Amino acid sequence: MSTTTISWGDLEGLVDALRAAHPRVDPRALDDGELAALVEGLDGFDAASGPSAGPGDYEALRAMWHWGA
Amino acid sequence: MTVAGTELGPPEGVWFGSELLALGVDGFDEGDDLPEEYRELITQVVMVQADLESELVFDSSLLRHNILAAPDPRGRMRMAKFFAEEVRHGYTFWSIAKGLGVELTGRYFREAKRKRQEAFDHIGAVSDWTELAVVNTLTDRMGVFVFKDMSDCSYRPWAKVSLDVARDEVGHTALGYANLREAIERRGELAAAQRWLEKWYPMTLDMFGRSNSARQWRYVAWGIKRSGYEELRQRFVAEVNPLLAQLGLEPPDELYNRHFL
Repeated sequence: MSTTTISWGDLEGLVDALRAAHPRVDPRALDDGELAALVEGLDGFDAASGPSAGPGDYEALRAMWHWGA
Repeated sequence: MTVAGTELGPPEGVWFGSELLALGVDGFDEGDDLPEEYRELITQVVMVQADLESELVFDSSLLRHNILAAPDPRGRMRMAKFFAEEVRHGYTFWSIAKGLGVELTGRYFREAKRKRQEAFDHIGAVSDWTELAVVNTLTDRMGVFVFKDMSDCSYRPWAKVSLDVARDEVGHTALGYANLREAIERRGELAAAQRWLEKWYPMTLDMFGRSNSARQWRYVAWGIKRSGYEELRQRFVAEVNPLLAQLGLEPPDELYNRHFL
């Protein structure tokens, strides 16, 4: 069981967790709602521990996930 | 939204593929005997895309220019991957143009006095990293809308590539946005970004085409494009404006500095 809290305040940590949980997913094929569902399903994700996401956060998440680093 | 007889919808008697229905076909493949108007229209669609991206197959100066514009190694690595996809698009469009009987050469791109979209010439002159981020945020997002709209194009070779190109453009516009966010939030470039936005927002809206274009409905009638220009433009505005606002940017009025209404 994960003891690490993941939130929108740490985009790189969020992407690392998503990559580990969904290695075959192409984030370019997902809309914001589908990305949100994957984020909320992550072990350790705590929506209350960080800022909530706007449309730009999903776009930045998509970029970080697809382009790496 | 389509409303018959308005700028958002086709005129009476025209719907997606209505001309094909009259011919009793549902599409065409490479090498088929194409109706004259259809050949002209699909060639125009391919050439508009080839005009920008197929040039990359012959001239690497834009790649080098934009990759080196990135402020750090990570940005250069990402732009190199970005251009690998753009070169692949360029080759794909070159190949489809060839299938339509149009042989694009390096000489064509160097010397032809062809009519290009205004924005294409400006894209080649971009040298500022923040401007490039704005360009990718806007024009590559325009590409997403345009290519998704042709994913069931009646010219099957084009339909086959449109969804893949649209998916790549989703990645390109996301990268542009991420770069723009970094420029504003980490390097304090909000004022510069706003200036570039005011340059590129109207040009991007123009790239969708004139609202009263008669040709747009011929594309619909032949099953090449599904939507009219104004409908796509409005969907683009609805999607991009909240993204820009989240960064503190103010999109200009939709009519500001527009050249092709």
